[in-house]
Amino acid sequence: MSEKQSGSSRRRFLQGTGVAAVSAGLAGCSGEGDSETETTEESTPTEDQTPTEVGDAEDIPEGGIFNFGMGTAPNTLNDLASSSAYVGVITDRIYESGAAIDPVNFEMHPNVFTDWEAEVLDETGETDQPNVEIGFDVRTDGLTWNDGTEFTVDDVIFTYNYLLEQNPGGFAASLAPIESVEEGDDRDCLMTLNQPNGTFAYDQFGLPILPRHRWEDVDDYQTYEPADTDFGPVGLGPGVVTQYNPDTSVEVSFAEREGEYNLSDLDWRSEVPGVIPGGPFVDAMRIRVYSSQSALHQALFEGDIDTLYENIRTSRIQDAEDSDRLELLDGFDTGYGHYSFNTRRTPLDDTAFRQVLGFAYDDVYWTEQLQRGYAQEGDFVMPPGYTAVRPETDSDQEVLEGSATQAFSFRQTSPSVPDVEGIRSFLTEGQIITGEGGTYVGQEYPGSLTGVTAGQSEPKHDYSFGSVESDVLVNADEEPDQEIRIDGELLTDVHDGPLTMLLSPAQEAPQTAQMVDDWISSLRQIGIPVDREVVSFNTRVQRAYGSEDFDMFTMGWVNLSPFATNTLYSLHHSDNADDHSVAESEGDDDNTDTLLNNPMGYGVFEDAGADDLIDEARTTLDPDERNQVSRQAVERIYLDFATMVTGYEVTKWPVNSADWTGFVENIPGPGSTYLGTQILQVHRNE
Amino acid sequence: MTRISGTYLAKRLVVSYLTLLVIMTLLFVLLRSMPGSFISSMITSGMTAEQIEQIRETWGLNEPLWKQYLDFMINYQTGNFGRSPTYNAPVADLMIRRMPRTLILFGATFLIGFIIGPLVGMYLGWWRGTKKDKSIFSTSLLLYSMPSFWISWLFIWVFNYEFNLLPSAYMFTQFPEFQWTAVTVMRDVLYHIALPIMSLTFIGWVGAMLIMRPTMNQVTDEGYVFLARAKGLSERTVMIKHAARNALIPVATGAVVGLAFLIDGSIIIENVFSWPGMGQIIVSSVLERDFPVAQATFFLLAVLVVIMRLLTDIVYTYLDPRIKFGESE
Repeated sequence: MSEKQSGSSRRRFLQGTGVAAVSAGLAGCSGEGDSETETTEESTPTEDQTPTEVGDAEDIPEGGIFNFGMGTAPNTLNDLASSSAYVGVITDRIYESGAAIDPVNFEMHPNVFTDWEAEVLDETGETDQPNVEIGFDVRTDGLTWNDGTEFTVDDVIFTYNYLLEQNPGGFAASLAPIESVEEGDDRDCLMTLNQPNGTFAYDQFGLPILPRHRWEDVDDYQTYEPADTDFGPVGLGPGVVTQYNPDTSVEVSFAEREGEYNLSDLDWRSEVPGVIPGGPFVDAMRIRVYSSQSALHQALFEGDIDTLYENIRTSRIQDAEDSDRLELLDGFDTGYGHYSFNTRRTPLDDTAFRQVLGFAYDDVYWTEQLQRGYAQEGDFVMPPGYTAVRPETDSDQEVLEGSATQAFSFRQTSPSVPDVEGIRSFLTEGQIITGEGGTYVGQEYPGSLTGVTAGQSEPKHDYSFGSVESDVLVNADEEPDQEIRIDGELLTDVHDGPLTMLLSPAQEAPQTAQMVDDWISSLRQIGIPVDREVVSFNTRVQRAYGSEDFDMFTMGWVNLSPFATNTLYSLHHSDNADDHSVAESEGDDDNTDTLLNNPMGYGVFEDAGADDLIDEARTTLDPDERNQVSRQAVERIYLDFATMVTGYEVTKWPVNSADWTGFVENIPGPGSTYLGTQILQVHRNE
Repeated sequence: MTRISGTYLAKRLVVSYLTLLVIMTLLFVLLRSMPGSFISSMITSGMTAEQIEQIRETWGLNEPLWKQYLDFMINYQTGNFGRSPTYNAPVADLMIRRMPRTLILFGATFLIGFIIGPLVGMYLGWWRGTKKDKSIFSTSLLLYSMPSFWISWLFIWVFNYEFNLLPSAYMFTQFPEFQWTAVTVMRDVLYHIALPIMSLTFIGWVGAMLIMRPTMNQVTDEGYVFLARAKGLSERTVMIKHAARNALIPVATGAVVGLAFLIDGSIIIENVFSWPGMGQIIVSSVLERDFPVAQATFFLLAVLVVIMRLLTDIVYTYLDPRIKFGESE
């Protein structure tokens, strides 16, 4: 799967290649408690996971240089001014945040903040007024900035107020609910939110803590470059930047902080399976930047680097498996690949029609043939690793198992041959999968897992099939015998031409191009006139997310929040959709050019949306209740089918296991999203 | 003897300046005609209207177009290329950092290519139709048809992967265990530049040869060549001093075009060899819609071509004494 974007509230884009990924370190919420008050101490994870077994920290050999490769240069060391994932590889070793998430159980744990307590002030949930107060204590004992300066509570208060004043774009969503942060009476600090936010520890406590002595004279964060200062970026983290050639190489030294960094010694780390406390154990991390993916991979195989950012290319997996030096660590996808549909346009405005698009998508061809088994069939907008917010959890089903997750799977008469007649009948008979159990196009569906139903209870249009008339189908190699009519008219008349799928050039994403071809072929066999338009990644982003000038497009998301609420809000809430009622500036059409994450327009119209559920999930403080509502929202989105999840990657992170050990596997994004965990505990083999 | 008058030179300088103004105008228009807003990549979900307005203000987009154009023209003529949103640095700093790297690589390649190419072209043109001519010419055509990136990968495979003789990436050793001195810098650059230069010149000389060969063949029938022979001059002297010098004029013209092609090739070669020059940021700035960088990069490349064109005019007068620019004035 290629061409993905980061779905975190703080977006870090993979630059240059057009592929996007990973943000680091936005923390989430944990702890027991009711909806009124939530207190978190250094908590104990309880989930039963099976990550890599590790030894005791005392036995771990220290030292060595860990060599890391990237395909894009980190252009700045200013964490506030950049959303680049590659910048995060460095700055995440420098800056720390109030709370930390463990990558195994997704529980929030104390980090710079030792504990916190949230109190709801306003039960109405109205925004724009003091609504929730969060008191928290700050760990000052033994914490110093990496330039040796003493860390104080004042730095924390400065950080929040500085961020609120400057409002950097990458942190906008996390800063928006914060009303104020000031010194507290009972607690070190008091944060006031203008709306309840169940994942405040992930969102608001995940912001990087800045040293006042470095930032207070910075009037405009955008023009500040820490690399130009005498020391480099100053943070509470374990690293010090000792070499910075942004175009080619960077060195982050951990030896410089020996005996000074103690956040990796916190009790909770020793209680999370697979996590070793006490790191980092390497002297330094050296980052080499290569200009092409080929050069990067070759450097890995030649032994110039010990690992690389992200996963290995599918085409090189066999080489890695044959290597004596390399090992492939399994991990979960942090997002999903998708085809999304513009619900503003007929007939894509009809859930029944959109569901038919799912019936024509041959999942097995994608996962088994094109992805050679390194992909899982897609269903919900939450990847399989995030079980707590997957609808299966409501009915204790195995993830990705069971027919409730197969509602829109490929309908075929024989392998790879679409069930043309069955699918046509689904439309002509006015069927729609609302969430109620039944048999749809020859396949049993047991009903929704969480009890939700689709926004529509019946199709919006009358569908029929007649003679083939549109040019697309007349000239199609598939030679369909019938063509669809929508309310008695040709689709090409109603829609002003065939439906068009935007996709990348085949040389950039060959498997995707093949899959789209196969899908279009199936749709044409059914009698639906569909065409393709090849455009570059950036053009597609602009067409889809900027001007919503598309019918259908293919892309992907990575780095979704394990707590779901941020992701659901950002990608599927109508707040993040352009309803084409407002012009961005005078003289423009009623369509803003702002890149909005919900180009489908999902939730803009009454008959397809999950706004209520998403809003409820976002403002629910109790984790169990919040997850339950999130699961409902996830299933509602599935049934409404404005986005078709095409698959999840089976991630393979290549590492030099001949020289290094201590990596955690079976976590999401082992070499990207949770790279910080790996760096803290990688160490030399005996 | 001066063959180019001061007035003519001044005129050419004015024309070059006007050419650059036109190029700047085109850059301004073309980059703003690209689909989507200039700042759309900087705007993310969750941003408030005030934040978006602030971005528009920062990039001067709230000014009327004529004012934006005027600011752009003035800024560029005073060397102010603005600030890069992706690199978080003044564009001029980026150019100063990267341009010399590209010039070192491509200056050396250009020089080698335009020494070897005309020499081989001279030889083949002089001895046209011989076995040597046919075999060298057909081999060079074969080379010319090979993609530069493929040659680069082949060289990397042979000289780096197989025999580990030369490095395949970067301009310097990244984490050296030696001290940087003038000598080690020079040695390290030569060590790193060897493979890219070999890859580029392996086929780069053929272009100049292809221009030189037929021109050389043409001048062999010229009267002044017969005259030189009649004077009893050696064949080598006739070939080099009398024939080749005149045949070089189209090669000089071709050099300007060649430079443009080299810059084109830099995008590929710099990416293959992780050479941190201009080629890399040409691609990334366009893909990432970093217009200040893209604009400045294209502008500087245009400046380079315009300067080369001017220099070519001057070189003409020295290659062919009959060419006199501006003498009548």
